[in-house]
Amino acid sequence: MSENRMAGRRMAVPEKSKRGLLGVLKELLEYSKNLKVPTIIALSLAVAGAVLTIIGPSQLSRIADLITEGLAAGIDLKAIAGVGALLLCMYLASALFTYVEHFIMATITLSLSKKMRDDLSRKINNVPMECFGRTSHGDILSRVTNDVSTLQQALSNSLPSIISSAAQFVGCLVMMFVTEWRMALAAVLVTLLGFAAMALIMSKSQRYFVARQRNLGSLNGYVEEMYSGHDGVRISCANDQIKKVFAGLNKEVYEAERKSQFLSGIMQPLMNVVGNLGYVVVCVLGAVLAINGQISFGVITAFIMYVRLFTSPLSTIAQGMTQMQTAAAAGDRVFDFLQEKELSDESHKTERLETVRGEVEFDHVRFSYPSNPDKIIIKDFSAHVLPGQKVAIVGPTGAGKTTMVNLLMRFFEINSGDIRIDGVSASRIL
Amino acid sequence: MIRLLKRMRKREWTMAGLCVLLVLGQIYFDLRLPDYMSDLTVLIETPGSTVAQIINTGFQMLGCTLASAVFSIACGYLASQVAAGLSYCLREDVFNKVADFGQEEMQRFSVPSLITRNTNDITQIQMLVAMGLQIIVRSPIMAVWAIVKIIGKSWTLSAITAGFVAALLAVMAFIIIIVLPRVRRVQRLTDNINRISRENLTGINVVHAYNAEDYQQKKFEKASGILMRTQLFNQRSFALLLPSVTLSMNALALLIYWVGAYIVEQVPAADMASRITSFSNIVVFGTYATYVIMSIMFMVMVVMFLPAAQVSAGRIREVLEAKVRMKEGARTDAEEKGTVEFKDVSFSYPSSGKEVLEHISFKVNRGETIAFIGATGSGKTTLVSLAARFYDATSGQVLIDGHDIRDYTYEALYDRIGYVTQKAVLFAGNIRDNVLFGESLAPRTDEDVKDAVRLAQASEFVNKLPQGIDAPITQGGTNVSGGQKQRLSIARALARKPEILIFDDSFSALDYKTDATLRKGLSEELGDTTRMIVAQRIGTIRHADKIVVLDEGKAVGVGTHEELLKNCPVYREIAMSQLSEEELNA
Repeated sequence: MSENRMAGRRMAVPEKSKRGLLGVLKELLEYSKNLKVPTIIALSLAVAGAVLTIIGPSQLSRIADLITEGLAAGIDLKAIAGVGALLLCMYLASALFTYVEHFIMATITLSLSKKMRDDLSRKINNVPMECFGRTSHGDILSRVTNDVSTLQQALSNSLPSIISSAAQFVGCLVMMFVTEWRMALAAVLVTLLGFAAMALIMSKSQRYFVARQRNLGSLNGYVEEMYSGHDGVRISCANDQIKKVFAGLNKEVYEAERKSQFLSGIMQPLMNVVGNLGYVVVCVLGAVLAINGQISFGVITAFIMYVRLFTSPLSTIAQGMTQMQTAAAAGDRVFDFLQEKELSDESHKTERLETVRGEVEFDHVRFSYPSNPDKIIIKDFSAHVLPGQKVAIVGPTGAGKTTMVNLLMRFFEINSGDIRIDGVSASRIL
Repeated sequence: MIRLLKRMRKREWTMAGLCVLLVLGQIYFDLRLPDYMSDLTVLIETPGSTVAQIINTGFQMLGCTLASAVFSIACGYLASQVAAGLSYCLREDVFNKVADFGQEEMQRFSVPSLITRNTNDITQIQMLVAMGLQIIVRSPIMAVWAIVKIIGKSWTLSAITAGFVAALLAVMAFIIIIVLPRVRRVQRLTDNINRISRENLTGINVVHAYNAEDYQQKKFEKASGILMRTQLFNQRSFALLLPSVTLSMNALALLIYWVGAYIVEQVPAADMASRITSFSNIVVFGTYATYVIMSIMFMVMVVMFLPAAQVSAGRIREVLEAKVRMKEGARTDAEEKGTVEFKDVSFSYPSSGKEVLEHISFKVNRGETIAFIGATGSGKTTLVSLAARFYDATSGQVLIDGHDIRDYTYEALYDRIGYVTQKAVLFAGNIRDNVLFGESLAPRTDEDVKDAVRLAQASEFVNKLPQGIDAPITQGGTNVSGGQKQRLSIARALARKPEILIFDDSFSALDYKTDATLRKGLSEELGDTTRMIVAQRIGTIRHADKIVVLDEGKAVGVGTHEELLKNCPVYREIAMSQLSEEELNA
């Protein structure tokens, strides 16, 4: 129950990831070689912890049986102590396993996220300038912070909790059927019925979530625009006008929110109801069977616990999967940027200008911005500037004055021709 | 947090109150279930009970479950309505507050931060309320109620339960006292990383040009490392929570049966009925104890949500409680028309305290053009922004139409003034929306729009657009060029038909030819309009009626182009750097 399992409750509509969940996981393993072994150990511990918890109720039911058997004659306290001690050890071991699992996962994923952040930061300085034309600064920053943190939280929490919940679910199912098949069947039926109802609501509600997200998006866009242009708003006396527009947008968000929030709001209560129903069914059916002498009282005790252990993993898995989907989208964005084409390797370049004289030559330079390759900005430009000469570049806006300076600084690579400094091609200078 | 809740409408409060009542009802029915279970236990262990009796009890249990379901769904509905309503009110309040902010407040908070406060922060609060209304209210009541129900049944078992509760609360206290402050710190450290990256990104040209990549990287990795270590501590501490709650729940159930066995054994074997009651009590006790622990677990979950929400709440409150320094006046009318006068005006920005303008005095009359020139940082923009009351003078007086600028209502003031900012700002919509943005007394027909567009020298490109003045403008005006953007923002000022036009270096985005035609058109058609022009080019201002030369916040020369060339060295220096010998002598 750490910070992130909670984050999974946020009903975000997950973006579709292009690598897919497994693709991102695969890429992660390739990205960080020392991730695999600790993850496997941690996940095994998660499974072990879950399995140990499941054995619990069957032992507890033995204690209950020992008491009921002894109601008339006398209770075998020694046997109870034996079972109790064993069970306590199992519980302790389970808690320890879970803690170690969390500890390992937190440690490896946090160092992974540091590595990612550092690599992203290094990458910023190594990608060609045109990359910033395609991707806004805010977008890159959000990869460095938000996306890395989303990924970390999903890996350290959702992944193990999905695995352990799955183990708990399957284990519970097996244990229930082994203990008493009729009651198991009843418990499973009630639970499935409950979840079917929930799934139905969720699928019906999807469009409300989409609507909410869309309305919220346009509202946020409006806020951003008006705050950035605050001067213009003030000087145009537009305060009341923008308040009115905002009120309209806000109203739409409110309506969409009321609908979508209600649906996510009743999920928790519904879970409760399903749990309670299971409890009632187990108690009543168990009582009927017990009175006919078909089962012992301990079976009921065991089932009361099984029902609880059985319902909770399903919702955990559902939440975890939602978060993993979001994480996959975040992983996409992180890896996309990490795999951006870098500036060509400079290390083989040996030319170094020790004392710069200051001779600059543009030789038939042709250039277009990579974002718009058809629009040639510089067409067959040649010029030769001798050391000490002062040369001015004049022209109307958009003529390419700044571009020329950018090319000399090698912020962009030219399409053809050459730029030489002191006779050495700029592309060969370290 | 609490103070923010006060902003809810009456409707939300009613619903919240109703919600609490529903929670009480729900808990009542939830806690009835174990009682029935205890009846069942007695039935099972008492020889001679019939299946009919069990089924009967079963139906009552089912009734309780359904009642609880109805209550909890109704409560979930209300909670979501309250949360949505609260965020609706907060969004509205924050936006309306910020809309009326002055320049000073905008700069103090910064635009990106205000955006976050108006959007994400409010969503955080909403989530907390949606969950909290159900869990924060439900869990403690549930825990206390369950404790009350069991406390009389067995003192030994109660003591054991109390022990576990205390242990769990201790873990919770550890988290709240030790870990939560560090969780808050994570936010600050993340901001720090964000800042370093942003710095690197915006200055990427400089970083490349000076080969400063390694320096930046080292700085980043240091901040990144601190963030990692803090998070490591937090997450390792949080790792304690889940195992300890699970362990408590399981171990408590075990201990209750274990110790329960001894308690049953103490009842004399002859008294079968008492032994059965005692046993059924223990079974019920186990269930109630589980309820107590589960309630605590839910509280822990909410507690972990708290720090983020608290930070958000604080940030929202800062905005809502910010005092807007500037006060609106009441005057709407004035005797003079189109005059601007600065009387010994000095100004320093509230943040720095350094004087940006010192003892500036001048007066312009209706229809005159006054220009301001000087080096970067000499205070030109600050000066004209005082004339538009973006700030109030620190000392001295700014008079518009003969009255102190502070006496006017904003509406009256901005009906007199048209201001074109240095950086043109367009909004999403179409060209007409942009030209007619805001409110003014001027007529607002399509003809007026076209007139303003023509005067701003924008007709040429607007007419080329297939939709004309209905052509769409994207957010931030990214679909028009810089010069076109500037011309449209000039058109916006012209469409207000003001008495006084202020151009803050608005012509430098235009080429010389457009600049000249535009100025010619203005003086021909708007002869009655007073113009204040900030410029870099001498050519833009040389025909002005009056030129004020600024140097480090002081007016070092006031006069016409010819006068200043003669008596003002600073002006002559600027002029010589821009004009040829012939032009100077012309």
